[in-house]
Amino acid sequence: MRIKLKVLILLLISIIIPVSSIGCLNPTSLEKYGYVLTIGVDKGKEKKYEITFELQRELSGEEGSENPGRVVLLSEEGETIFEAINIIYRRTSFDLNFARTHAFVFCKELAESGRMKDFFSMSLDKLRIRQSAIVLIADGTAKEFLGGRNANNEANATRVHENLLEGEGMVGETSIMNLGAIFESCDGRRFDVALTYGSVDDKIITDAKQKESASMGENPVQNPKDRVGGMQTQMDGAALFDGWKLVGTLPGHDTQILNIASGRFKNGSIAMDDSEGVQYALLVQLDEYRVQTEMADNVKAEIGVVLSLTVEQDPTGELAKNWEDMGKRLVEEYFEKELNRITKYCKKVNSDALGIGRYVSKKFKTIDEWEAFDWKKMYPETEIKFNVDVILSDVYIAITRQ
Amino acid sequence: MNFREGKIGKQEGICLATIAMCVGGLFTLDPQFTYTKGNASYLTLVIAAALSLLVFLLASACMKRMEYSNLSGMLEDTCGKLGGGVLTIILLIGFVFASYDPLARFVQVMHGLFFSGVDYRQIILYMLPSVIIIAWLGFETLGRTAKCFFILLFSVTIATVLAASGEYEIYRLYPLIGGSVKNAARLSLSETSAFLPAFAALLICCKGLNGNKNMLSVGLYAGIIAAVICAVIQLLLGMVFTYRDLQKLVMPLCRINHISADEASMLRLDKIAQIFWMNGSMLSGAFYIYAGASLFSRSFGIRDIRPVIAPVGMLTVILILMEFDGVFLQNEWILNLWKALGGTLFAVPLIIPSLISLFKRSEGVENSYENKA
Repeated sequence: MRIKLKVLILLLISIIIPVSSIGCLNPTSLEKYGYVLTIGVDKGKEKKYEITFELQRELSGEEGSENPGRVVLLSEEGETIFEAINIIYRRTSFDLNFARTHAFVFCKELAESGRMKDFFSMSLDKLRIRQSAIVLIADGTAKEFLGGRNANNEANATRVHENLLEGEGMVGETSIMNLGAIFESCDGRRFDVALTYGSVDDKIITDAKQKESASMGENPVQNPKDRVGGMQTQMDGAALFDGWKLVGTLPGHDTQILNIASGRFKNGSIAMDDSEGVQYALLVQLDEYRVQTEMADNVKAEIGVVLSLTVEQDPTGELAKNWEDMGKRLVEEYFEKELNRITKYCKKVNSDALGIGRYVSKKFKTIDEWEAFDWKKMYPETEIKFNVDVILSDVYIAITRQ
Repeated sequence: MNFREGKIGKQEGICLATIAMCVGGLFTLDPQFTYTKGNASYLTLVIAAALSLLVFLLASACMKRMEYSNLSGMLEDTCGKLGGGVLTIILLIGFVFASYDPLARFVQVMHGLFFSGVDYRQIILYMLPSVIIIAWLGFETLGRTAKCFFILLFSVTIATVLAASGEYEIYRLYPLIGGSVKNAARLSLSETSAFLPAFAALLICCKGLNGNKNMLSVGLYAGIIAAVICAVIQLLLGMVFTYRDLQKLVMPLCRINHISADEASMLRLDKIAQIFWMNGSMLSGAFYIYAGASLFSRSFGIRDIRPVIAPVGMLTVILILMEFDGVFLQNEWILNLWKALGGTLFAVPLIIPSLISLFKRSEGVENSYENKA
């Protein structure tokens, strides 16, 4: 019996060991791949595009390093992304892998020319890129932007991306949209996208630069005019599109207002100026958002928003104290005025970044009727009215020094 | 006689038929054909399931009345040897197409989303021998495997649609019924090809389901469960993708987690889900190959099903190879005919003998090849 058991155990071991060692027969090192995190696209000098790949590379011997997000940039010109990849392959010792690509950065010039459409006619599946990859527009070139973003070597590339995603919900000064949204917008024409708009300031003294100067016994801030800390890139607001074409940009504050108007806003601190130039800081949260549309000679849309707010800073000290008599009216008028201003601008550049078309499409019974309607043609004539209601959510903090 | 039928209970039968119907309703719809005039699939699939169920109820009621132990007995008794043979061949062609359809779609998606550097033939080489082996092992094996897989497939599908919960938007469903009532009716009829093969297969394997009474309740439950699952999933898909996006996506359920910008780990588990769904399609393919082979053997008096399973399986393989060799691209009418009239291929051979049997007097004996033999 014992012998039989031993034979059985030996047999099992002889099966388990070779099977579990199969991976050793054809090992693939992580170093074989260069994982592309971001793809930057600029107008090429000799070819159609200049494409910059931001790669996360773990270099050998650095496994235990405190800097797991080490990033390198590679760039090449090509008529298509595939041509650029082929050329890059000739001068690298690894394969580009796009399974982790989470962002595209386009230069403003290319976005304005509408050539993003041509670029995205490529097969995303072929490169394993998901439609969840977000798209950013860079003031200047995408290569400069990616360079500036990585000028601070302390920054972990994945954290930078996570921070960008969280920023929309926490501050509301950006508008994060991915490839899926762009395809839906350009194909379905029920709305237009507003993409995150970023810029580079190469005079910013990065964290790494500060460390380097301090270690040499120098004052890191040589020029008092220079900005200090962080990366050399920043997100400035939103880039408005009409289909595939970039038609305008909005600064951070205006992007917050646009996000309220489109219902994407969650919460964030908004600066409010009154007619006498007094500036208040309000922590605003979008509590309710509803759109009602009416079809007559032209489209009429009524957007109702309910905002709850906490007064973060009030130089007059009167806003919360006289909330019912003065504060509420002042804030409501301010937001209505701002929402109307942004809507007017969107209509002027023919960008339905508010997404009114999504609600208008509900009025149609059949696809043929909806497609014949041609919403984007009607959009500039649409009457859009805002009803703003504000609630002071934290009275105590507004009237005390806490 | 070696029909490898065995016996399975209600649960196994429901699981097997539900998996086959859901694979048909979720993974085989032609995107261009289904979504060109908007998305009404969440309604049309329910209508298609109801129509298919009616055909099944009619056929099973007639089988019960005349005490046929399976479909081949009814075909031969009502239409004669020649007519029964013709209807058997028509059903066999239908089963080969019903088996080919989900398997080809999964080969395509595996190639597109997993192994773009791998040739279609190599993927087929991994998948199809397993399908033929499962079919070879018989109906009882199919039923018991389906029972094991059903909970897994159901859980994976629930987890997948829950992971995409942040992306659902009602406006994408509008205009609600898409094109027109006429278009919805046309789609409903064509989508019966997702349900009727499974119902027909149940009628063929009636004996393995412990008789007509059990088969009836298996078909009823499976039809209702599959219709609900298909409708809910199609509704959720319509809330994630607009009809224009859907027109361009093969198997949109496999991409439902590809559009969220969040980096949640749940959203990266889609490949595992896809493997499970592929197993479901393999099981469904094996079920149809078995059903086709079983009907053919019984109708033409072949006492052993195994020599029939092999060529039926090979016919499925040939269709898949024809698709990836571009034969169907050059002869689009073949697939268009299957998409438009696939359901009819099953409905006609089930309705005609059922109607004829209504004019016959019940003989009170079991009419089947086995009993006559």
